[in-house]
Amino acid sequence: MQTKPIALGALLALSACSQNKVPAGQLNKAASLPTTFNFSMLGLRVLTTFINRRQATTATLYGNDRARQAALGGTGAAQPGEVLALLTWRQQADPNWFGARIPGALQSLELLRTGPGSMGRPAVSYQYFTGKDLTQRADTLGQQARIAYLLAQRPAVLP
Amino acid sequence: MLGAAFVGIQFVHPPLENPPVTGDFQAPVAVKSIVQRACYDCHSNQTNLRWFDKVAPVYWQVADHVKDGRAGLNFSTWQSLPPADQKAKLWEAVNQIIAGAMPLNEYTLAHPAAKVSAQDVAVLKQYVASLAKNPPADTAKLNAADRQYRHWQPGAAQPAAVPVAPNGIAYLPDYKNWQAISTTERFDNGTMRVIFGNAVAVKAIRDKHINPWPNGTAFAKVAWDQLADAQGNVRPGAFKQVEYMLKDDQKYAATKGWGWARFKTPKLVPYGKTALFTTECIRCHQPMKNNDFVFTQPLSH
Repeated sequence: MQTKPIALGALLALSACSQNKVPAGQLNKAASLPTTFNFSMLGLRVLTTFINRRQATTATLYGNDRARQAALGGTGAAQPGEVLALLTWRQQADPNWFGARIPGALQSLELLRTGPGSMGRPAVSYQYFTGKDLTQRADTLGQQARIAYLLAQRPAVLP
Repeated sequence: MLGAAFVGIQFVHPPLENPPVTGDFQAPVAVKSIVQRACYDCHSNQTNLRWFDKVAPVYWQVADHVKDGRAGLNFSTWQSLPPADQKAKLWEAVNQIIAGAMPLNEYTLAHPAAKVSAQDVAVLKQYVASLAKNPPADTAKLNAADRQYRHWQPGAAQPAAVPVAPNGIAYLPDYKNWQAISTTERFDNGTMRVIFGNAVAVKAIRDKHINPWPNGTAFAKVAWDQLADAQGNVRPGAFKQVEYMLKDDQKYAATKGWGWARFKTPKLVPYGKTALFTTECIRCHQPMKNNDFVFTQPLSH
């Protein structure tokens, strides 16, 4: 009988060990923006977020105050001084939660700015950057459709 | 002397009974047999104590585990849970198993038959995945989102009384001005989320000092219903909740160094009846204990 308490004590002591399968203290490097781009300096706020299940992408739409006000107004008519930015990522499985997908490789940034125009319509500039370094693309194909899409989005409810 | 003490403590035996099974968990045989073998001793009213479980001081720990286990998840009263809660519990259980947090190591050490093999995990994952259905949004879901959007008055005055969670943490309206540090598509429960971090969090990310996170870190995680169209385009529908994690290893020492809070619906109704609601938060975040209890892998902008 003397050995039993010792054996049980050892059992309790062993129970202090634990498995650790979760990577700790890790940043999502693949999804991060190049620091040189200084995206945060644009001073934009999150307006809404999207998922495209067929393409397995996820995107977050940002805007400045003017863009936000215009989007809330829902008129679709752009005002000068709006800035909208859409960041799109390939999705990856969440390593920490089976049942979730998170941003993976950074795919693109679309940046829209409106300025003073003519005949009551603001001038719209659209820039398209791709890849992990956010390299600017000169291709203008489909640009008008993207501008219309970006200006048509409704902000998510953020009480 | 030691022997006498050992015999003596055997009389300190708080009762551990098996209450009736009122609505047992139902699942395909392959799934149920794994759950019964690995979980039922602590998570059901069909606890089967072996002789060595009944020997103090081990018994005291066993009795505690069973009590806590049943409180968090009880497969014997399963049918009393709404279907959405059943699904959430199953996904959480599978994630606890994947992370190695469950079954408890001290339990499987004495009960090796309860160990969950890689093959068992595959069976469980396949089963819960089969429960996840995210069809295109129906009219009811679309209408609910539209109604909520119309009633949402951004920029309007906040309610006179700021909602406060039972542990004293108040709703922080400023989260909307914080930076997004990640987003999540939760196909397990049909929601989509943005995780915001305050300036302290963003600096910690930039400095790569995120384990542990510095005091003053604040996260806000916002969840919406998914509104999917037939082409698989998904946008946020009805706002479900905003959840906060506020880091202060002194102030919140009793709750793993974090202040936890959840406010539901656009009315921002505080979650939990008493301050003890945080045990639920901590239990779910427990598998991340080596990551300062944080699930999110942040990205930097």
